[in-house]
Amino acid sequence: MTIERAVELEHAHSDAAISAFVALHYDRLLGLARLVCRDTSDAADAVQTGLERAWRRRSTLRDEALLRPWLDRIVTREAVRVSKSRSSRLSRLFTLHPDVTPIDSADARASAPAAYVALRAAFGQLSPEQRAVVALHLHLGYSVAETAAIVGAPDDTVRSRLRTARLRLRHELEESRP
Amino acid sequence: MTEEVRDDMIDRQIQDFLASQATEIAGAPSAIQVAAHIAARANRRPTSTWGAPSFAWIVLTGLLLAALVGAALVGASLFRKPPGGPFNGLIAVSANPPGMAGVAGDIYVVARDEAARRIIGSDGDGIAQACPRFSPDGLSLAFGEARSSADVTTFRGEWPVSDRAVAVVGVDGHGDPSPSVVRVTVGDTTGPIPCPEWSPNSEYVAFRVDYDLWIADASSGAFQVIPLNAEPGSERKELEWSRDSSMIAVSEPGQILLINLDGDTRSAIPAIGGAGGAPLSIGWTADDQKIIYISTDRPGDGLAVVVVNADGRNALQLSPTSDELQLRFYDAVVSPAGDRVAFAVGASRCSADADGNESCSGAPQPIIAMGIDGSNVIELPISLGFGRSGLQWSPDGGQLLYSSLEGVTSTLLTLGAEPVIYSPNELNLEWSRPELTWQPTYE
Repeated sequence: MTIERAVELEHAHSDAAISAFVALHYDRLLGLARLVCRDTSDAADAVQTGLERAWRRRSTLRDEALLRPWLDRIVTREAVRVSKSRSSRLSRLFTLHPDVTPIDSADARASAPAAYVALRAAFGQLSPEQRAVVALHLHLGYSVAETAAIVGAPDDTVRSRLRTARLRLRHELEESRP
Repeated sequence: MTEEVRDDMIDRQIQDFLASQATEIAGAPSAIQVAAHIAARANRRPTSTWGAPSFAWIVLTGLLLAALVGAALVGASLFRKPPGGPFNGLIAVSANPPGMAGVAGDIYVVARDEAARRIIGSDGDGIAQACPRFSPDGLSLAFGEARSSADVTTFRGEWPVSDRAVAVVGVDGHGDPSPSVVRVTVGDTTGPIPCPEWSPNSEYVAFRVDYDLWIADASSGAFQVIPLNAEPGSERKELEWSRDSSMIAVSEPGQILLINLDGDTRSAIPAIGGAGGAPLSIGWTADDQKIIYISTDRPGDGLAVVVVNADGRNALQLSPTSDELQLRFYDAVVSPAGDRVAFAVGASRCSADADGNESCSGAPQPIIAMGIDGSNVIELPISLGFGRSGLQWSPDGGQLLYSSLEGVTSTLLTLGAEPVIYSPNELNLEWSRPELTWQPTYE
C-alpha cells in the first residue's frame, strides 16, 4: 500500500466518524447555542467551531460518559463568545450617529405584547451568560452545580444569574397577562 | 394556589418558551454540511499530527458508525432541512376595503377556501396601513402606516402623508394580531408610507425615510438612523438585508449602496445602466455571494434583470431579450434558498402603419423563474392582469404569489399548474399596488 493510499483510507475513515459524531450531537447543540446567541447563524457558527474543536481534542476526553457535558461546555462557551462579539457590533450600530436626535420610539398606544413576545423580548435582554445558565438549567436540565461546571463559574454566581433571569422572565410573563 | 405551584407553572411556561426558541433553527446548515466542513478542515492536517485514538473513542466511533449506517438506510434526507421553511397558507395583504375605493387601506389575511379577514384597521379610521411583512420566524407582523388631516385615499400614501410610522404586532398561527408591540414614529414631516423589511433573525426592521435608513429593534422600538446619499425617488422602498444580517443594500441613483453594519463601512456597486435610474428589486443570493437587481440595461433603452457578485464584479444580464417584443421586467425576487430568481415580464408588440403611426398591443406576460446562473428556466403563463404586483416566493420556495385584479393568486412552479386564487373578488386590489407576505409556520 502506498502512503497516499493509506492517507486516503484514514481520511475516509475519519470522515465517516466525523459525520456520525456530528449527526449525533448537532441538533441538541444547535438548540443550546440558539438560546444563548438568539440568532441561528451565530448559533450555527458557534456549534461548528465547537464541534471542530471537540473533534480535534477528543483524545483528551478519558470518560465517554462525560462526552455530552463536555460538548455542551465547549459549545456554550463558544456561543457566549460569539454572542458577546455580536452584541458589541450591534452596540456600535446603535451608537454610530450621536448627532441624530432620538424621538419617542413607542407611542402611547403601544400596549403589553402577547406572553410569547414579552418572553422573547425579556430573554433577549438577558446577558449571554445569563441566557447560558437559563438554557443549561431550565432547558437541558443540568443541576446548578453541573451548570456551574459547564460555564466555568462558581455555584453562587450561577444561582445569582438564574435568580435574576427568572425574576425578569417571570415579571415580563405576568406583566403580559391581560 | 400556593406560591410554589405558581412558580412551577411559570417555570413550565418559560421551559416551553425555551423549547420553542431552541427549535427556531431554520436556515442553519445541516449536520451533514457541518460534518463535511469539519472533515475537510481535519483532513488538511498532516496525518502525523493526529493523536492515536483512545480505546473509548474507537468503541464510540464504531457505535456511531453503526448509527450512521442505520440512518443512511432510512434516508439521509432526514438530516437535511428543506430550503426555506414551512408555512401555514396564511397570506397578509394590504388592500382597500371592498367597495370603498376612496378610503384608507387596511391589512387582511387570506387563505385557500376562506373569506378574506381584516386584521389591521377599520372602516373610517382614517389610518392607512401598507406593506405588511411577517417576520421570518412567523411570530410578528410589521407594517407601515400613516394618518392625514385629509383622507388617505386609494393610493395609500403614494403621495406624501403625515404622521408616518412603522408598527409591529405579535401574531398567532391564525394571523390574529396582538396589540401593538412597538410603533416607531418617523417625525412630523410628510412623505410616503415607510415600508419595513425584517432582518433575517427577526429582531430588527429597517425602512427608508426621506434621506435616511432607519433600523429599529422590533421588541423595544429603539432605533438608529443612518444617513443615505440622496433622497429616493421610485426606489424609496428598496432595501434588502443580507442573509447573515450583517449588511443592508439600498438603492440609490445609479448604484446599490452596501452598508456594513459591523463598523459603518460602505461600498457601492454601480448599476449596469449607469446613472440613468436607481436599481429596483434588490435581492441577495445564497451565502450573500451575489446580488440581483433590475435596472436600465446596458444600451440604456430598456430594463434588465442583473446578477452581480457582492464585490461588484461579473455583472451578467439574466433577463431575455427580443427583437420582436418590447420587454419590461418587474418584481425580481430571490427564492428563500437563494438559488433561484423569479420576475414578472411585461411585453408588448409594436408596429408602424404605412403612415408611420406606431401602435402597440399587449403580448403574453409570463412570470419567469430561473437559477441565478440563468439555468433551468421555467416560464409560467399568467392571464393578462392589470395591476399585477407583489410577486413573492412561498416560504418553502415551491410556489409564487402575486396579486392581480382577480385576487391574491399563487401558482406552483410547475408548467400547466392551475393558479389558485384566494378570496376571489373580495378585496379591492385594483389601484393600491398591494403588498403580500406569507406567514411562516412557527408551531
